Amino acid sequence: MTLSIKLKHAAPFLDICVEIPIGKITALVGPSGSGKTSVLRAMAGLLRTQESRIVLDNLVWNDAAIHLPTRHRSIGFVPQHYGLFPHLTAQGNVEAALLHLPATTRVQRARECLKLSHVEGLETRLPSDLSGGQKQRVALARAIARSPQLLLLDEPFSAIDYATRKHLYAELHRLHAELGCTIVLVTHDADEATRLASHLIQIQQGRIIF
Amino acid sequence: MDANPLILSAHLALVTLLVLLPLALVTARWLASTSYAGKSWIEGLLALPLVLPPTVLGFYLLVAMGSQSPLGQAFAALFGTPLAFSFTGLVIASVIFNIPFAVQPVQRAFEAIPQEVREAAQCCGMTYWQAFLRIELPLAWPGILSAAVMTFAHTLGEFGVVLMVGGNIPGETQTIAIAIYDRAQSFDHASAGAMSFLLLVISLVTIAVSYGFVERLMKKRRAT
Repeated sequence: MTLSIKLKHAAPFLDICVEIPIGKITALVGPSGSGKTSVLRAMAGLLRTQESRIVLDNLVWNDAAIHLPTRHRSIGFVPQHYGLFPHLTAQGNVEAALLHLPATTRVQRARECLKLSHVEGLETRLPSDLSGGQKQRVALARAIARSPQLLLLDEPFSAIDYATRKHLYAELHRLHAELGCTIVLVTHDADEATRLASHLIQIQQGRIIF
Repeated sequence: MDANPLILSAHLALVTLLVLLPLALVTARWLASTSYAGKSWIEGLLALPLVLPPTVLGFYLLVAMGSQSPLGQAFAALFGTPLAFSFTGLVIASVIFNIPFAVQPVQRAFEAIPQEVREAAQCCGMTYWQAFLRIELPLAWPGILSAAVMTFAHTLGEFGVVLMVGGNIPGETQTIAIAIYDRAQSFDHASAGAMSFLLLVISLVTIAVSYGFVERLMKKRRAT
């Protein structure tokens, strides 16, 4: 995946050009405010920029002339605070990503994803009744529901205690092995990055250090 | 006690709600998401009925709907009746003086939806309308309910604008607030008292029930 992102109006000014290996886990590491979340948001199409070029499997997602809307990109996105829909149950949250499917298939697929993320038994719970780790798993189940080519995780474990985090690292590896998709995760924790990713990109002040 | 003024007021409040609420939803959603430079002027214009004396608003509306105005003349030519001092005129006036009561709670409700949740809807592959109907509208529901209750209760009790635009025609423009004034002026304190008490009870029950409902909804979501 070719990634060339320039954001003039972002703080800090962002100017990166990098190849993201397909099918691997890549970590964008850097201190807070280094611009790594902006990179993730640009990949998701949530930040519009004409000077960026994002290409996945020869399909241009973004360049001077094209801006593929977020909903047409083959992505799953877990934002830092999970972005769960508070009025929908865990099952409803996952089904919300499957509106293109007929109702019966949608229910079945949502159950599969919740099972893959190890949140069986919590289907009827609202996000307000879930712990941090459970919310994270539901958000992950929702993100993988559409079988995306690219899974984007923004500081996915920052609000989770150390013991649960270690367990979730193993689960992310297992999910990656099962799904085989490309994962890009953002973290400020170098230890977390080395445990999870096979490819590291360090960003500082909007530029790649290594 | 004559029930006609109460029925007319309830009818007026219901029609106002049906006309105003969809307009308020669209306007509030736009105001909640736009960064348009003139936004504060538009918000100020929409909030004017809150600060203007009802007689001032009523006077301008009367001039705008009068038989010499383009609107009044067009209405008379189309329907053969004057717009001022008619039920239709009252509905238009009622919609205008209720704009802030309908728009502001809905706008605050849309503004309270976290950006992360809106973006999550996009990442789930939802179209604008899917996200609006399935995510934003249910989340803004407490604000929409508050707006509906405030608009309904405010219309029931509005006096100044209604008197200026509709006058005091029994069965046509005599709402319960006007009828109370009318009875008090003619020293029929028993009727005025009964109608006042009824309006007080209806307003209190409506607002208390809606506040309770909204509070329960918000409590459920607060921990998310």
